[in-house]
Amino acid sequence: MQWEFEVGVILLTLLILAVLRKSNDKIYRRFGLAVLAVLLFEYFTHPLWINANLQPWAYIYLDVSWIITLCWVDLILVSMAIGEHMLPKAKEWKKFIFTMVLITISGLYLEWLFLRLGIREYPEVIQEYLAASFRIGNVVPIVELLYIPTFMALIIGFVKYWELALGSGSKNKKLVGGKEK
Amino acid sequence: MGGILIFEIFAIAFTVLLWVFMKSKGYKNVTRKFLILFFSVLLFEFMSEPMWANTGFQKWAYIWQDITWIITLGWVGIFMLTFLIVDYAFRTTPEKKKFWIYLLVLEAIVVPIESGLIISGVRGYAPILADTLSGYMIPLTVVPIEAVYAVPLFTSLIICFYKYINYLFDRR
Repeated sequence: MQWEFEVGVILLTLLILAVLRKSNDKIYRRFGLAVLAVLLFEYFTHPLWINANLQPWAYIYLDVSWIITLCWVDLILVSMAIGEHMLPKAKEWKKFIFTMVLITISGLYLEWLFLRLGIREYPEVIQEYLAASFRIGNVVPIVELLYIPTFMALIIGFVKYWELALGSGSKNKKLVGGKEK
Repeated sequence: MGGILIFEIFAIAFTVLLWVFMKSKGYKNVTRKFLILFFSVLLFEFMSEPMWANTGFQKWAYIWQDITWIITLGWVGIFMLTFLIVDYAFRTTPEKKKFWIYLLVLEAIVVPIESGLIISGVRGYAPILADTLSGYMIPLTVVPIEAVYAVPLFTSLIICFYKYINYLFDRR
């Protein structure tokens, strides 16, 4: 793999940030939270995936790659922005569902791209696990239809929680644990 | 088998007791909170399922592959207990600071329990995960040293998801 993919992802990320900054003055905070959440997840589940054929500088730890992280973060930022733009007055849960649908569809394409480019591979155990699974477009295992929303729901939850917790308004008081009576 | 059955009964009883306690103390939406927390933990267990081995449970305890609702329920009890302790002891602390205390309390609760589960044989690590471990253990336990940072990593995601979904329900 040449370096074009990595540089393309970096440029795309810069472009997305430049565009979204116009409608969201806290976009850098959202970007940082999304990077952190995706990295947490990727680090924790790294034995399940192989990120191969990237430039050596694209890797952080073992095969955890910050370029792959940026790909997922771009998808998250754009999906959240589209949800907020298309449903500006909708209730928060409707925006969440809408964002999840967008992310699932675009996430399947992204996974397809990773597999096609040879960036994504699965360890032998996972291959056996997925062997009987139907593949979307003959490439993406059908279980990704469950994995992508599952993993993205946790990431979006992390980003939104911290946006609320760091917000200066009264919204952060609405974050409940076991306490609220 | 007998020990595992006791563990299963304990996990169920502990969660039920917590639920009854919160109900009796007038907490709002208690059942909803337990269900959201159960779902939050289940999401993570589903994602990371190939990394763990939960063995020896009764057949009725398994949901899918080796995901057991007993372990999920155990996690629900641990998380909810943590929320109760921290929210009570640090009631005036802002959410963004309390979050870090949740992580500390969870770590303190989870490590000895994980150690007990590993010793009892019901909890194991699949080769795909075991191959990435350094082999060092947390002193006085059989828990891999990697748990020191792995526990806060995954509990962070679960806490945030749980709290955010609760927030969505409150604002619907």
